[in-house]
Amino acid sequence: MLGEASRERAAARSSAWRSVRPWATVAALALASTPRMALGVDFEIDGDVFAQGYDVAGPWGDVLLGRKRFGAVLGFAAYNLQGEARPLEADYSVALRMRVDTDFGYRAGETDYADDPTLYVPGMAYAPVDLMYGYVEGRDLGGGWFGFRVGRQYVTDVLGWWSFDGALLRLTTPFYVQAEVYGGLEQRGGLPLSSPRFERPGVWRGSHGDLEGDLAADFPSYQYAAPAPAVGFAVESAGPNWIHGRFDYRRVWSTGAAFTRQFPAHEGGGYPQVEGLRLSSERLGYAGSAFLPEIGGAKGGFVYDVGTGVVSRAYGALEFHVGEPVTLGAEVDYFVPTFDLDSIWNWFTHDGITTTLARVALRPVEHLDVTVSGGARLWMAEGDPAAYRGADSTSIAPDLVTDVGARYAWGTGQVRVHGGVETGFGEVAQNRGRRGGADVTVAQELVPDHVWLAAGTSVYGWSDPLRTHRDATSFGYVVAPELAPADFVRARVEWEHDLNRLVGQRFRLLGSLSFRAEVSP
Amino acid sequence: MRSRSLLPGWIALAVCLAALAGALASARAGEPTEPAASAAPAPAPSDASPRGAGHGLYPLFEDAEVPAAWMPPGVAATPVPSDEVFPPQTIAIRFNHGWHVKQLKLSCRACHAGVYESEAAKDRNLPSPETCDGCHDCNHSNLAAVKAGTDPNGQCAFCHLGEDAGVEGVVALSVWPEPNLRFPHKKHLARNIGCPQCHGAVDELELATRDQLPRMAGCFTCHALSGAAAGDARGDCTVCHLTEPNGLLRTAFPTGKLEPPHWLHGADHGPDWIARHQPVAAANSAMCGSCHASPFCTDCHDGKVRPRQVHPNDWLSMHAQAARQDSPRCVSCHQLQSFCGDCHRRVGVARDAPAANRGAGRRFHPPEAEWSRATRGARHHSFEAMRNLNACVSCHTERDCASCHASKGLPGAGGTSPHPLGFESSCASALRRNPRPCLVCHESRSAVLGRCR
Repeated sequence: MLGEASRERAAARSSAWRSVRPWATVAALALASTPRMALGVDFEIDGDVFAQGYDVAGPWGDVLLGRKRFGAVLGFAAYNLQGEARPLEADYSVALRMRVDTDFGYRAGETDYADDPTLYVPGMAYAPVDLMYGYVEGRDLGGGWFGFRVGRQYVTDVLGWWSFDGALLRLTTPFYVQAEVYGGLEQRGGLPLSSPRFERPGVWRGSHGDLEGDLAADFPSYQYAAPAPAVGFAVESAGPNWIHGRFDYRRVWSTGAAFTRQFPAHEGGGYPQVEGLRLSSERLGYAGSAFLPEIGGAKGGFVYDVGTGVVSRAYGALEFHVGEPVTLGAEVDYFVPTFDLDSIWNWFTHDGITTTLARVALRPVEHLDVTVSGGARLWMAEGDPAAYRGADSTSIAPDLVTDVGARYAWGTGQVRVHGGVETGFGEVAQNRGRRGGADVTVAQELVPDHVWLAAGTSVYGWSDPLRTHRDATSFGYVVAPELAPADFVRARVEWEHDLNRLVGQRFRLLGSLSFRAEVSP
Repeated sequence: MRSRSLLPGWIALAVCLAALAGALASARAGEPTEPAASAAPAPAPSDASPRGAGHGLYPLFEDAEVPAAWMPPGVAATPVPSDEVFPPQTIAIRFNHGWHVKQLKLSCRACHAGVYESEAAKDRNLPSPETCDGCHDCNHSNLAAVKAGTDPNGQCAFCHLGEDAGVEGVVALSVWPEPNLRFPHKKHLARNIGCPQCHGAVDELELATRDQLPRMAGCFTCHALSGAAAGDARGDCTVCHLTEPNGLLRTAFPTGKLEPPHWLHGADHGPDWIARHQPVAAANSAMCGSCHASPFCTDCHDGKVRPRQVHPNDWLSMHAQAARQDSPRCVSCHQLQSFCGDCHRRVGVARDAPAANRGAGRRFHPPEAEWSRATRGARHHSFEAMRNLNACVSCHTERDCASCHASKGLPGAGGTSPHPLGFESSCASALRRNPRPCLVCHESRSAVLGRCR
């Protein structure tokens, strides 16, 4: 009898639930879409305004550009849209950042062919405005299983630092593995609010502006911008802190038209073009590390450029903790330049650059960190220029590479010293040149939380046997006071003065104003 | 027919036994410290022999070195606790934990009862002075007028330090700043995680100092669960570290800046960290994102103001040689055609620079006779291009190269093949993936492309 009554009550509850479920769903959706600022949303607004002026001299010493740059960055973010933040529980946020960067030192003819064809610089962007990022993000959804990001966003992985407009979905499992899958459009120069920073090198793409019509054909190396679909995924370990690895795959296509031949077709008809979907880049890579606190560890990775069929990057490092204050290490890095698959330069690439280093990091006394590394960078080439032999042999031109760094911090300030020498040696490498020098920087807080001062000086020398007219020794110093009249604002001035025989004296003045305000209702 | 097993039986058995032994050992280590005596502790003996002059001032008598086995787990990786997480303390009392636990049979709980209900690291889980009154002949009920008894163990100087401690009611003050982390003692104890598992063998020591506070390497013994795991012992930084409203870790503290230890994924932020951070960010950018928001990365990787730690004074003058040495690697932050090319065209270095910016007869490279027109020699451009093509691409457009290398380039040009050895074996897939670069140099109906098809 009791069981029957219980079943009846359950059935009644179920029936009642069925009747109110649509309304409950609507109410839940409405609640989810209603701003809940009063429940703990945190807002953040920040920005930078900077102005800098300096001269840029060409290789022949003439002062050509008087740069008067002005830029502004504005960022906005709202965190904890769900209300009160709790670790490991779902949270939502919105973030965006925009900027403008202009040079009032431009001459009119540089951007306007009609104004002065002898000054016209093809492809130069004047006052570009870009949306650095702008997205909605959700983390730790569904008990930590899911996360997402929709909008313009960065991806940082072994394939590089990259940006796209689209959506990313993250799946995190309890089984020590997580995965990401994403798709959208690669950020490319010439598209609205976009920068060319994230394209693979090898092709100039952008707004043609003054390059329209007949003029465009005079500059066939400058391609039109068009949307670039992109997809990718990553599989990454999660949980253990002593070992970590991430595998990445990414594929990007180019669309639209692109000039092919760089000279008018002999048979007439102007400059031929290709059109349509074609591969821009397809790469995969892995990066991982494993460290045991008391012993040391290893890290390594590689990038395979599927489009060109070469391993474009491979690196590895070993570290041994020889007692707490001393770490010994050895590193190797192999790099082959690769480019957008629209570019011809992929097919000029021959051999890689291999750098091997030994490294010591130590803390001889508390608050003093010192690192010393040294090794060789090997430049490969088919053929032996010293023996004038053909491509049936490979020559190696080595550079000697050394680097020393030290930092001593005392709470309210620090002093940093950095120096190094990189020089070619051996018969084949005699044309590689050298560069060496050091700089010292001191920073000190003068008035707690309000006034800081940084100053530094440097001496560097370099020589290039292929361009001896560019050899020089430079002495420079910089002074940079910084003031924070209030918690939310900082003003900084940086004065740099360099002297070398190429430019005589060069001055650079930089002023910046940063602000950051947080509002937590 | 006999099937082959994946593992020989003896290996499977050995692995099982080892796992069992490990589980037993770990369970033993995890046993909470049981109360060693009843809730009503015996009166403190007045003889001062085990606690006499010099005792209770250091973890071990006369500051002897504490054996590693008695220290908190992870101390080998981090001998000293982090100043940022556990700010330095001033301990102005003497106390002999070993004596109270082993001789007086007091449990940890007898004095630190608060930890069993504590849900925040900032909770003060030290015993109140009145707790001591239960055994010591003194009365701390009014801290403005503490009364010492007649027994030696009730005199101020018996526990308190300072010159003339207790004279006119003055004793040196102890300062135990709040730790900067999240730590619910209650949760850990409820999971049968005993005091020694984080603090080491305090019952073997006299004075417990900062050295007995946990080390991060020790936390990772348990905190290694994946993000969606049902348990709370996840490896996420935010599980233990304090966060800002934007979800990033709080890194700025009066005692210093919180940075990763040298053993965590090799992410030690030493003087050469900027040059070495790439492999760490490539493998685990989420770890970087625990402390750094995107603008921190963009300031260098996509910035508009030269970062000094990467490019020192007078970088404009020396950058050409640095680019030739690929150090630092330009393409890590710069797009060659736009960032580099824009400026190189403006100052007249690039070949397609405006006529007004490039004086007649001016060459950046060695004379044409050596650099391009001569047969290949030590100063021929082909070797520079093979060694470091990025340096070429930062100034030149495709048209510059195609003028000589294209099979249909400038009239009279040679059509010199720039392809590496063995290129023909892979040209078919290259053509299939993207024909555009092929068509820059080759006619679409040329015999060369026909072979690739």
